[in-house]
Amino acid sequence: MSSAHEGELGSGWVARNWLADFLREILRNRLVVIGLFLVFIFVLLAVFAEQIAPYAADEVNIRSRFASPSAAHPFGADNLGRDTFSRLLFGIRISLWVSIVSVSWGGAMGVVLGLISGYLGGRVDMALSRLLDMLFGIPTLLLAIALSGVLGAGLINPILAIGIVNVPFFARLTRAPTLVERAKPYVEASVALGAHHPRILFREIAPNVIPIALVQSTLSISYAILIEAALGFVGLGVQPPEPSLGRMLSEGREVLELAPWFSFFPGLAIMIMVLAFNLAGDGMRDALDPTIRGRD
Amino acid sequence: MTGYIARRSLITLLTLIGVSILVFLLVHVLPGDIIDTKLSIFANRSPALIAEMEERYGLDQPVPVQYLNWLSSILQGNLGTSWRNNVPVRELIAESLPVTIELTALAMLITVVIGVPLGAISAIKRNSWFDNIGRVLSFTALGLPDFWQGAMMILIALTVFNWFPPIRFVPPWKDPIQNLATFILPAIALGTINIANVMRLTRSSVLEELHRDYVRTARSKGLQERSVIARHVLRNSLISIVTIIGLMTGYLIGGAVPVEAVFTLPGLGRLILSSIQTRDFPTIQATLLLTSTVFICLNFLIDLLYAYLNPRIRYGGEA
Repeated sequence: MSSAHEGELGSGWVARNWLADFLREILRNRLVVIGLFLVFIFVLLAVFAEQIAPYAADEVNIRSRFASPSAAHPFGADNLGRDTFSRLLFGIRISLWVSIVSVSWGGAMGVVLGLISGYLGGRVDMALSRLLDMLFGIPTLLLAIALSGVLGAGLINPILAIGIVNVPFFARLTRAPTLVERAKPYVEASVALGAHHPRILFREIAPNVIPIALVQSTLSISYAILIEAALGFVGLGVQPPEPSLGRMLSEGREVLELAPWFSFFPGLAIMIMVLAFNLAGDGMRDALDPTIRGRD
Repeated sequence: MTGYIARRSLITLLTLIGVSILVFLLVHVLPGDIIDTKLSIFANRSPALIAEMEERYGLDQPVPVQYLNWLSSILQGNLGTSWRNNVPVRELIAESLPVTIELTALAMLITVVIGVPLGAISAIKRNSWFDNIGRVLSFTALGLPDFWQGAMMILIALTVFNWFPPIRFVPPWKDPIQNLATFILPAIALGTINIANVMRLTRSSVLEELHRDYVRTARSKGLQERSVIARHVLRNSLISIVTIIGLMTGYLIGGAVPVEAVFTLPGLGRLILSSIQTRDFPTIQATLLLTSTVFICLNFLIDLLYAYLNPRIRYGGEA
């Protein structure tokens, strides 16, 4: 298609065309569709946990202690006779909630820092980059564990900890393409037209950079799910009586031989959730990258 | 190259200082006061007692001074004393470090020995059944929580083989068999996600190299396919694999925390976890600083290695 044509139709048309291309590319990839479908199922399970769960998450029933999987308790019951399937649903809800919220705020903050760092360059870039190096200097899971340990367990603190861990990652991811975009003629044109820096940065450059961050956030959510589970497992996540997948695993570990289903199903749920987000994110990343598109 | 080394060294040094400040502030400024922890067992918390404690721990001084005092004593090799049992932190670390080093080294070994060849075969036999199964498995393994995998492996070892890995740490030079028996399952659990990562990375980097012009040249000058791959393709794709070893180590050090908990291994991960749970601040600070320093220095060395392997950086360009 000729560039003169594009000029006539305006940038809105080009953007929509890009989006259509992207969507077509995604839907052509069966694995992405499967991934998105699984994500959708898990979101439904989380949202309608109350309606789907046969029991309340903390409903204690001593008579069904360590009940093995049956019609009454499809995934068995735990040491207090609580239904594993019901607890699993509420655990999925918390896991998704913590992961999505923490990646959203950590990612957004990282994107803004990366945009500013890449756009302003010079000393600001230098200072911000060193600050982010500092956060990168502590292994991710260790940083999350240490932060949660210091902040204390609860629902908000894991969100804070996992979010902070994501900031440097998204900042680095955004900084490089911002540097590239800043050097392009359209930025110069905007400057010549008298646009202010914030306008250029957030209205002109950001739309070109944010898709990369959005796709990355899908992959980051899957890692966040694993971190949340690890935090719960070591006792630093959401506290009882709220069910958490990680804590269910650690409680189940103590009765591994007696009631293996108690820790088997939460782990399986984590694995499938992570797989779903990875499938979706991986395929979307490929769809964004024209150099990979069309290859195998 | 010298300019590059100098610049990287400076950045690494700045990062190390930054991390030390971060680690210091992490436990000093955020909630959960040191005195609270120390005095929680006393019913009467007289102001005089609190003042005395503050003086003893140097808390009556301004925070920057406290930081400098802390840093200078660390640099002199004094890592402080654990508040939990009044043992020097250095001793606690000396006891637990060998366990974690062996665990991560074994996991790393398994990762490279399994991940690299599988990834390379996958790329060379692209779209074969081997490639497809390998890709599905490695993709699924990325979602495997290592501690859960560990628990499941214990379950299988118990129910199928009626065997439980020995939990008492024996140095490899005393009883290599028992040592290996202790470490094999946790190392596999810790390494699995990395194997998957390395497999995927090797596959894509070998694929990328296979499309390069020099491969066509090598083939057209009549080299056998085997030596094209072994001498040219693999060698070039290893560069990008080497660079993620640093990141992998970071992952392994962090992952060691829950995995050591599952297998009740007395390693650094367990020390970090128990010091966090008991709010044993000197131990938290020292262990965090130690692991981060190792992590940062390793990444620095890998940067240098990468620069050395990559002539574009060696001869003065930007990374």
